[in-house]
Amino acid sequence: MVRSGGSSSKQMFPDLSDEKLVEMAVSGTPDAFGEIVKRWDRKIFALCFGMLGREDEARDAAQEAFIAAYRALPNFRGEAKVSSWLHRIAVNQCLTTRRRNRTRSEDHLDEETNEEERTFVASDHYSPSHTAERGERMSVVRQAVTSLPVDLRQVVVMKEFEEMTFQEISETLEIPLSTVKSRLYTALKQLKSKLEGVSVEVV
Amino acid sequence: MKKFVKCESPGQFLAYLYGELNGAALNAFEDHLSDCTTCIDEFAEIADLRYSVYEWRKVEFDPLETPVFSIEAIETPPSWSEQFQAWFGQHTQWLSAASAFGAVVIVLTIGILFYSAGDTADLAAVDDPSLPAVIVTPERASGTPVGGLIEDEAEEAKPSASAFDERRNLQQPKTSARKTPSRQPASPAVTVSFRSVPRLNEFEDIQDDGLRLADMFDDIGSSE
Repeated sequence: MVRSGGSSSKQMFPDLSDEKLVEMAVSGTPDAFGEIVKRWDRKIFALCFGMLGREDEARDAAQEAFIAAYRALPNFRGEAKVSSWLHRIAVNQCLTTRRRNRTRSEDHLDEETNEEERTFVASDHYSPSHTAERGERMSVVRQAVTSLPVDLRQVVVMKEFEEMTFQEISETLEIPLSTVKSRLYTALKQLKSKLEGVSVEVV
Repeated sequence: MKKFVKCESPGQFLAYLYGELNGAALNAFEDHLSDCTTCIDEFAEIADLRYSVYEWRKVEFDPLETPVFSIEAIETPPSWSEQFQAWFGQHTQWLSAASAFGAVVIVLTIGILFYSAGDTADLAAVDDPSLPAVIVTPERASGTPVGGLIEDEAEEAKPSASAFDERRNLQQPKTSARKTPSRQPASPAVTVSFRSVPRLNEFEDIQDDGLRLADMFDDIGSSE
């Protein structure tokens, strides 16, 4: 069993690349794959959340994605980046979940999950270190969002906070639908550059 | 951005990210996403950024209680009547005094109106044809200054007053007959002192010896 200490835990292999960690995990080095999970659990969860739209389903899908990645370690040839490899596994897992949701009721979704394998996903989401890291990240996001131009921030707020559809935003702001999406896309891209400029480190 | 020209557009990514892609477009997007590593990485990046904003909202805003908006009435200054009532509510002794004063004022007002109504009834009774006609006779013989006239002027006015009385006495039966045709000629004439009647001017006190056309017609009528 590979246990993850969560993204906020102190890294055991801070200087090693993802590819090296995969090689170490394949060769049987303890905790190598756990380090990969620490680095990528949040992004994989965000990807799953973006595809499924529900946190509980996204959490389960992320768990299953890491389980599938761990099982597929021997097949990783190193032709692609580890991040792309993990993304693909997560996307396929989410697509499977979506197709399953269309044909089955949600009550049966959790029955196939192995309880022992649930420990892959960060188990200390509410630990003090995680809380501190999240608080620091929230501060950075707040600064990034508030520094956006007004027209971009307006769309972000209406979409994320007001939970309006693109059509509703278009009608409210009296701008074309494509402009709404373009503004939101530009806003997210600008957020990325702003967030990358600020490193979040919590020891 | 070139990768979106070949693959999916940013609009498709966002529509799928926020669950606004349906039908055939949804199936086509998912089929493409499962095969395109470039789009997978792009979508993962957008999803991560979106989740950062979502997490920010969830952590910092969702715990906040929804404020309850209540529109409170704007406090307007009390009207004068409200202030009046409030003041007397605090000073009951003044309220009693004001009530007593108001009662006195009301009684006095009613009394004045009552007596005024009596005077009006008297004035209305003047037109009653059953009552004797009132003849106003200037009383100039007393020699008392009238209307501010000095004594000498009053003395000079005596003859004219007599002439005036004669003329008025000649005219009076006709006037009475014209105003009150049903009045009995036998009704006794009541002489009211001329001095008691308010005077607007003093022209009537001045001797007027001019020949009047009305007098001439009166003389002709009487002679006939």
